[in-house]
Amino acid sequence: MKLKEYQGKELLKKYGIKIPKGQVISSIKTLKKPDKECVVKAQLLTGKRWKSGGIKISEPEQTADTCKRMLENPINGERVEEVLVEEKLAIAKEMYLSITIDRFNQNYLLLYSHHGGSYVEEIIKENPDIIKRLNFTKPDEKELKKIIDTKEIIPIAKRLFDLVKKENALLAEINPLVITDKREFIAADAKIILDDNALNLEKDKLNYVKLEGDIGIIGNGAGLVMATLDTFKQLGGNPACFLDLSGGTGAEIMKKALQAVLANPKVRALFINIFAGITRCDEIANGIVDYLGEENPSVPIIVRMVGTNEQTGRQVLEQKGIKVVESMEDGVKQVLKEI
Amino acid sequence: MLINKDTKVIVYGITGKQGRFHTKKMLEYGTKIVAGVTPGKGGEEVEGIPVYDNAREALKRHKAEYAVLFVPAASVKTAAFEAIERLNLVIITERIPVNDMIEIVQKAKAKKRVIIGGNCPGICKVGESKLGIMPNNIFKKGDVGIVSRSGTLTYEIISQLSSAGIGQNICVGIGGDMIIGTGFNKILENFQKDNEIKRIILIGEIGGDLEEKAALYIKDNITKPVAAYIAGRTAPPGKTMGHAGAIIGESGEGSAENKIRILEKNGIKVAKLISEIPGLIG
Repeated sequence: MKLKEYQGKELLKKYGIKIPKGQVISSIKTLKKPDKECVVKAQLLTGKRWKSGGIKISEPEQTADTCKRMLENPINGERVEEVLVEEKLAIAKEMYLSITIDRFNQNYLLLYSHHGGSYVEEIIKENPDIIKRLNFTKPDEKELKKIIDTKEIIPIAKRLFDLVKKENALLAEINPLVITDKREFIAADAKIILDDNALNLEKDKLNYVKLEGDIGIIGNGAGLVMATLDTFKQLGGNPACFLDLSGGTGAEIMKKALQAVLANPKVRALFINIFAGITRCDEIANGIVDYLGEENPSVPIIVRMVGTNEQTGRQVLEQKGIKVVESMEDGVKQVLKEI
Repeated sequence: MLINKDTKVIVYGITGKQGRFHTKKMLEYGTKIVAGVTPGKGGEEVEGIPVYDNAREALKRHKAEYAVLFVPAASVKTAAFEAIERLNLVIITERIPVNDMIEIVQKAKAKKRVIIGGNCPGICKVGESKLGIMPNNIFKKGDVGIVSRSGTLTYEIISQLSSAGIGQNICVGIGGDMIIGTGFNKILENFQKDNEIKRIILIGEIGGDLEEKAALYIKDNITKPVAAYIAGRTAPPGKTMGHAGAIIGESGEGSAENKIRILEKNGIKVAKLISEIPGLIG
């Protein structure tokens, strides 16, 4: 789960890392007029806010207007629900500090650089040596000292790791970590992503991603569903969505999945791809039939169904006039014919 | 050889819904399950297999090399820490917190244990033994080694290989999460050393850098032919596509295109459609 900047900053503050003084508002009614020049920041999950007008320096008199305009106008297709109005820092230097998960080395990776700011990625591409890296499972003072040459940043790095461990973060990035002219160390931005597996998210939330095309796709297993989308693309189709059913999905969830996908008016055909292990084909078939009993979709539905209880599942569907195929690629081609 | 017909197995979470169902299927396949572990259910029996409260109790009476874990995500760390003392692990459970997996992996390194998974379908040594949940009837015995991050996509590919008359020797599902016990490279190393395996299929997907690292490893260490399929060419950046581990970074790192490019650059053929795979490896 990606946190917005202000949420990330609240966490940093909780772990003893300084953040700029500021206020988060979702309406200008609650705005306290700043007494000096400030920075107005749209709280978006997408990046590169400077480029898209999501960050503006503002005089006290203009601040209300700047906030209002940001809240009223989506940026990069994302609605601005909150705006963060912060003191403008007297920046002497912008550093970069982050801790993330290193998948290949199966541990944590700390990244540190004297070159923080919006262009850090471009700078790294030109000169990879400017970013210092440290892999670890527990932060070691000696190891940290080897790569972090600014002594005040060492405790900040330790606190950042504390946050990562206790809050189950997959990424905690401070960019820029500002050194002010008074030599204070302040996190001017915060990008934190929390591990969904450690959060108690709703168990029944559908794994659904809406896309731009006209072919609805539902399947069981992320890899299989992605491969189904890829197959359609390869053969000239345009997926309308990705929907991954968890293993062992029952009729109830299957019905919800159909509702979600077919609620999209762009969808002109639906392909359901089931390779059932722990999942049972008859459960899936019952969910589809339940849905058809309530709705009358105008779009053709083609089901590919193999695995556990496939005979029963197939019978249930064929009785309702639903086309069932055995081969995934055949199913894809038949759907493309229907469009 | 990771497992064979003689590998003895303890099933954690054997009394749960998944544990029971898959214990039955594993036994049908021929797996030598010797015991089950569910804290508090010691003394019970599942499909004729005795259940114990913990591994120590089970191992007093039975020998075993592997544990297969069907326990809930929040319990995996505790179960794994206990099992790692004496056993290698295959962790089927999905949605294990990343921090827990990092700790489990560290402990396994210290104890020199093999961990496959989490969030994986397990291992099948075709015709001999199956640790996990891959459907029993998709396999055909042969000489292909398969290593994959996916579950059902792996079944699909195995199924198509079997239909094409291309048999499999062993199939290893390494799992779809961000931190997994074993990546591609160690399995590829194992396949290279195994005389029964003559060709290799690698099944990857978006997210992380395991495929890119595997490409370089293959170039330097693998002499047997390798073909690959990478899922997620169509995935847009920044969206979570099912697996915790399948996220493309906003700058395109972890994208399918990047993985395919690096695999091909290092001499590995990559199929555009699953149906092309038999042709590439045949």
